[in-house]
Amino acid sequence: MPALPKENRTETVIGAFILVVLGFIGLFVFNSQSNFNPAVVALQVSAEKNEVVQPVQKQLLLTLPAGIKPISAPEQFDSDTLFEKINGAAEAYLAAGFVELKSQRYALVDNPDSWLEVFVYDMGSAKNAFSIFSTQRRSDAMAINIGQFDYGTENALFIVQGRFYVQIIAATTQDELYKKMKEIAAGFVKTHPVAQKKIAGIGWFPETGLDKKSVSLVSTDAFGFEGFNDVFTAYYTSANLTAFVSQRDSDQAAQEKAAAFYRFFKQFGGKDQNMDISIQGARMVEIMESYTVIFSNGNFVAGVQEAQDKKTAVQMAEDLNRKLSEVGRGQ
Amino acid sequence: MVNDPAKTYLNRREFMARSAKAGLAVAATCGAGFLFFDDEGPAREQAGVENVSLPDFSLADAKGRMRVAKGADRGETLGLALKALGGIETFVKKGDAVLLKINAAFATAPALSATTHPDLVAHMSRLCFKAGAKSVVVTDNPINDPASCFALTGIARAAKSAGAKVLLPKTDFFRPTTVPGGRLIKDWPLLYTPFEGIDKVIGLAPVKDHSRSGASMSLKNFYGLLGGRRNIFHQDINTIITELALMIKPTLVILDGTFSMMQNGPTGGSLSDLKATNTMIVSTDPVAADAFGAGLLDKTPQDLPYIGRAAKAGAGRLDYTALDFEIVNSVES
Repeated sequence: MPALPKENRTETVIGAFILVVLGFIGLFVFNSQSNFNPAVVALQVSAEKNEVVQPVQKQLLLTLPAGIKPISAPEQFDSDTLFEKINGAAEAYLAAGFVELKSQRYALVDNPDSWLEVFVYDMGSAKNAFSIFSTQRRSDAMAINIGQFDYGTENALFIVQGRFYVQIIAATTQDELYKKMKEIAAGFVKTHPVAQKKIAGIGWFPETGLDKKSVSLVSTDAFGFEGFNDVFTAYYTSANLTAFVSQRDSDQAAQEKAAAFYRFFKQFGGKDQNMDISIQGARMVEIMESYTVIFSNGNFVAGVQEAQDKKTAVQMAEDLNRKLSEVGRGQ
Repeated sequence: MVNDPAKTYLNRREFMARSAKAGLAVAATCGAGFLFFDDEGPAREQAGVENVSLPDFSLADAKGRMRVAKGADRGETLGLALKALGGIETFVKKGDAVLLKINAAFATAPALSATTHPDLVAHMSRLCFKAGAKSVVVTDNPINDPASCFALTGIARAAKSAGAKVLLPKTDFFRPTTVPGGRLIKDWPLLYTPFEGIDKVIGLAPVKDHSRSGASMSLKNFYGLLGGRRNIFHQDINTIITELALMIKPTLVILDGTFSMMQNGPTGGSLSDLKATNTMIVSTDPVAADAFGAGLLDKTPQDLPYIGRAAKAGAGRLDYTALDFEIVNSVES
C-alpha cells in the first residue's frame, strides 16, 4: 500500500487558516447564544409596540376621487411586520413573494360610517400578484374590467395591476360607496400602467371546457405535495376535473417532479391504473374514487386531478399534452 | 517534484500520530460542544420581571357541559344556550369581576365576521351585570393599532353601551409566562394585567377558517393573549394552540357561528367568504366547542390536528357527545 504524502508548508498554512476561521465562527456562535433569548426579544417588541404602529407617511396613499376623505394615516408593512396587520393571513402572502403592504382607510365625506380600506400589496412581480389574487378568488366574483385581472364582490374589489395586488374592502354594502371604490381602483390603475399584460401560465391550458376564472397559480406545496411550487391549476366545468401545469428548470427536473408526485399519491394509498394513452411515461393513479394522471412534456410537469372516470382523465391529459407541445414549440 | 519518496511520504508511525491528533481535535470539539450545551436555554435577562401564570378560572362543578342553540339572532341564541346550562348565574356570581376575552384582531367592520361581533359583546356584558357582576372587562391584544381595532369592529362602543370597560393592551400589561411542559410558551409575554382581580373569564370567538391552522375558534382566540413577535408560532400552529389550551382554563367559552368564515381566513374581506350557519355554542370545554365548530366549517375535528392534540394533553374532550351536551333548538324555518 503506498504511503500518504506528508504535509507541505502550503497545506499547513491553509489548515491553520481554516482552524482560525472555525475558531472565530465558534466565538461568534457562543457570543450570539449568550445574548439571544427570543422571549426577551418578544417582551421588548411588546414594549415597543406603540411606536411600531405609528404611520410612516403623512401623505395620502392614493389620489382620491371627490366625495372621499381619509380617516386614518397611511400605514406601511414589510415582510417582518406584515403579521401585525393581517396576522395569520401573512404566511400566504410571504410564500407568494410579498415585498410591501401600504394601506389606508377612507370614508364618504358626507357619511363617515360608510368607510373602506385600501390594501396595496407589492408582490414583487405580476406572477406573484396573480398567485395570491387567484388563490383567494371568491366564488361569486364578478368582472369589473378595471385592472389587469380583477373581480368584485358585494362589498369588495380585488385587482391585479402589474406587481400590485389591490384590495378595496368596504365596511358596508352601499351603492355610493361601491361607486367610489371603483373610482379609486380606476385611479390606481391609471397611475400604475403596465406594459406586459400576459402571465405565461394562463395560456398553457386548452380552452375547450375551461372555466377561465378558475385559473390559479399555487405558489407553494400544491395539492399538499411539499415542494410542488409554482403550479398553475384550472377547472374544466364539463369534464369536472382540475388540470395542472408547472414549468421546471429542465426536462429532467420535470420528469423527476412528475415521478415524485406519483410517489406522493402512492404513499397516500393511490392505486396504479392501466390506461390507453398516447403520452409517453404518463401514469394514472386512483385515489378516493377519482383518477389522477401525471406526466411530463419537455420541462413541464402536468396532469389532471379528481377526474370521475378514466376516459375523461385520459382525454383531458392528452388535450393538455398537445397544448403544452404547442407552447413548448413556441418558446 | 518528488525526488526522495522516503522524505516526502508518511510512514506508519507518522500516520498514526496524525490520526491520533485529528481524533483528539474531534473529541475536543465535541467535548466543548457538550460542555457549553444548555438544555434550559439562556435565562431571561429582564431583571425584576417575574414569571406569572393564570389561575384556573373553570368551575369544578360545571366541567364538560355544552349547549348549542340554532338561530340568526345572537341575543336569542346566547340566551337559549345559557338558559339550558342553568342560566348565566351558574357561572357568574354576585360581586364577580368578569373578563371577556374577545377577538379584535383586525380593524374591520363587524359585518365581515373577522372579529367577535359587537352584539355578542353587548349581550354577554349585560348578562354578566344582570347576574350581579361588579365589573366586566373586555380585552384583547391586536398587534396593530388596538384602538382602531376596538373602534372599527364596534366592540368598544358595544362594550361601553353595556357598561363594560375596554382595556386596550399597554406595554406594562405584559408579563412573562411559561406553560409547564410547553415547548413554545417559555418566558413569553402574556397580556396579564387585565386578569388581575378577575374571578371569571369568558372567551367570545367567531368561527373562522384559518390559512395555517385550518380554523380559528375558541382555542385560537386565546392566541390574542400573547405579546411579542408571536407570528413565529405560526410555523408550529398546532403546538401553539395546544399550549394555549393548557395556558388558560376559562370559565366559559361562547363560540359564535351565526356566520362562519368559510374561506380566506382569518382576515376574510368579502361578505362572500361568509356563510349563515346560525349556531351559537356555549361550553365549559373549549376543546369540545371547537370540535363541534369544525362542522360549521364543513370539517371534522380530525381535520384540525390541534383539537386532538389539545384533548390528548388533557385540555378538554374531542368527543363532545360524551359530555353533558345538547342542541337546545333547531333553526326556525
